Amino acid sequence: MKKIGVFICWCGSNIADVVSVDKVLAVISKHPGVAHCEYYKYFCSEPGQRLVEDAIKNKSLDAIVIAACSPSMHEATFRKAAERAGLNRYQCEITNIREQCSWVHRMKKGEATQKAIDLISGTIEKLKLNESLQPITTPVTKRALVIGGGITGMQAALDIANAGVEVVLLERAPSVGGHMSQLAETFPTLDCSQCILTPRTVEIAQHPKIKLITYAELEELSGYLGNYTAKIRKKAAYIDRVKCTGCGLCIEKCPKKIPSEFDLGSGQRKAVYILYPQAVPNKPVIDPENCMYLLEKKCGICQKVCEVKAVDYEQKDEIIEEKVGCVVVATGYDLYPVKDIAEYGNGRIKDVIDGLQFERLNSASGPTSGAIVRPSNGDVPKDVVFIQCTRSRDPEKGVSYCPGICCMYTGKHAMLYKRKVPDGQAYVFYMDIRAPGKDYEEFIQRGIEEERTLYIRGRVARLYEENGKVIVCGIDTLTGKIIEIKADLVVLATAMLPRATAKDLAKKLNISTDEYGFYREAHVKLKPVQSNTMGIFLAGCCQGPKDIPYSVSQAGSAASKVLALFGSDKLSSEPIVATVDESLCAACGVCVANCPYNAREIDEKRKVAVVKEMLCQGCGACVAVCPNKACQLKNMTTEQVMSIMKELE
Amino acid sequence: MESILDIVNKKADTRVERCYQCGKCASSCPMIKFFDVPPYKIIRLITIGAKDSALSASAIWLCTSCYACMTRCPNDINITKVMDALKEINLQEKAACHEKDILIFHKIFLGEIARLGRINEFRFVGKFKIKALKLFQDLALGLKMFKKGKFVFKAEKINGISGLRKLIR
Repeated sequence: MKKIGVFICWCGSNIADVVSVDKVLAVISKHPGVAHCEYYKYFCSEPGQRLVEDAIKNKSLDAIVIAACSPSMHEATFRKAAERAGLNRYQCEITNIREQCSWVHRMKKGEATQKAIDLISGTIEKLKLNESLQPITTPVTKRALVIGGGITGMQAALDIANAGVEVVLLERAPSVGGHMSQLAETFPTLDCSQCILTPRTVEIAQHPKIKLITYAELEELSGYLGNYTAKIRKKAAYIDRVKCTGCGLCIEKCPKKIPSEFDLGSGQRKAVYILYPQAVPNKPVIDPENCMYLLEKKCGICQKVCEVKAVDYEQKDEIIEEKVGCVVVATGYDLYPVKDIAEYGNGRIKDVIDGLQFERLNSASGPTSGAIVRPSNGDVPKDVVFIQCTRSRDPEKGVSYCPGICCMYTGKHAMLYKRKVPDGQAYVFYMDIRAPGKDYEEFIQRGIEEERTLYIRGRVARLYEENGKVIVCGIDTLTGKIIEIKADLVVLATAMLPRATAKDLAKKLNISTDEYGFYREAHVKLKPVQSNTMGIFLAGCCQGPKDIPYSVSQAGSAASKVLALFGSDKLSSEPIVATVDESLCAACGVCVANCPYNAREIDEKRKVAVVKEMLCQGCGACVAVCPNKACQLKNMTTEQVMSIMKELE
Repeated sequence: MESILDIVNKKADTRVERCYQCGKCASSCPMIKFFDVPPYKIIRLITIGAKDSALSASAIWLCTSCYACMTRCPNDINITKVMDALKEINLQEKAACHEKDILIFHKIFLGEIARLGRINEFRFVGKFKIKALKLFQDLALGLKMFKKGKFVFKAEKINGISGLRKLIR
């Protein structure tokens, strides 16, 4: 029989004040199989750990129980101590007599002592049946998949690739750049968004370690940490993007014009198009919903004019597979649609636009070449009203959170407007100014002092059109004065939302979302870029609204996690996993259906259920549901559970 | 003692403390020109426990219960009901009321409904003028209405008045 040592920790007075450690020591010392028992004030301290090590060596113990705080506190500490003394780490078990005993039974000292004795006895009985286990190891595919080619995804891809690791960068749109490529200037320095973005997009395109796949979406992700297989759907572009030289002749000759998504309706594009002039890759795609040839077999001009014969109307969607070790998700955000805001005109008032539309108006490469004009008639607006907190901080009708960037970009918009229209007036309706970044508060103040942006504290009740103007009905709550402005243009700082497709992708990746639909991090403070699935990392606005500096730093953070993971050739994980007694298994598949981690499958050839050990988290769900009792959890077998229960009777 | 905040919350079945002073109630309000204290400040007075100031505001009597504020409130505060609650507390505690005429108007209106089940203009206006001591105001308008047959002297009850009275009670 195993020689077992038991160590009862006082935890200062945390345990000893409630539980009578003398009595526990006396009772446990006599428990069958206990070869050594002692107590100490702090076993987690260095001298405490040395006591444990010495006892293991001197009394040649086979296994030890530490009765102390929660295993989440010090299980690793004592398992390391046991290893130093020559034991297998799984021959060390923790009994929690602090959180689950002394802290919750402060008023019932006698019963707490008995509970401590029972809990320790149970652990001793379980420990007698513990196996010595080795960590499970698996080789790693040192290749990362980054989903989303906005500023966050590009930054993450570059950071990983610059460390010499291969990256597959996946982008849904025909070109990379994301929302940042739509912006005119960026706060707080007002540098041109395109100018700071293009060096990145070019670097992405030319990087030998980056495989850029645009106009494509993730279809399915299978496998586990270190060994994922991504199925990717490459949408039919109807243009051979290898042959295409990007000369642009097809775009020039295409007769069909439609509102451009990139310009958010304010500009037009052709049915064969590139997103924007500096796009990477700078090769067009044909939009099958608007191309007259693909719809009605009429036209076909683009094919006739293409000198390299790159236009291929027969092209189909293509599914490709990429093997990767981990994934960085950087899919970004959507904006709350103006058409859903009834009191601001449901999107029917032409001169009421959202922040991104204003960016396009303001952008040198936008539909107006950077001239700020009224969408209704093209005049220069003289009174522009900016409304912050539109449907954000609005638990009743919108979202209750504060996106945290609208104060800054509205301040920027007002400032840029004043520079282009010096005799115009910018009004900002705000609730609170939230500008806690570096140089942010100074930026807002500059707008107030130098550009004379008029900040009005209050919310606008409604907007309506009258005589070609937009009437803004608001209030200045600081004076109580009702404010009515006859505006030429109204810009709404609408709430940032998770992508409409975020939930679908979450299902494919097996990660969870928060109450709003943003991807949930493993720990809000300590694991902000890890998802709850191992090997899937989050960066940028898909995890919650944030500005460019924060997104970029999160991208770097996610990249460092990827590189840390790829630092060793093999990954190891806890060996506390499910096992299958194949002689009992009937391959009924109940375990497969009940496994929350996709760790179970049926081996169709041998007709037995198998465990994918790298995915198994040792939760025991399959053990509970197996009708034949063929599933067992290592070091927590049914026999072990029953032996614990017996002691608790 | 229960705070004014708790009392109003209970009476109006709402949570006044959720207000973050955005002012959308005031900018929505059709009566705001006549209010001495805008709705969001009434809400604030309740939150900080300034009971007397809240109860003595004319605004609580001037509110026409159009519900525009409540419809637009981002925090789902039932401001109209809050105004009603304050009126109720004002009466219970016999607090200062600077809009006596409106109070008289409400009382006569409800009294007439309880008696007849409908409003007879002549009776109603007459009673109000006598109570409010405003006998000669709007005399010209009154004559005009009389000529057009808007004033009917015979006051008729509705059918089933006893049922209505039960409801009111």
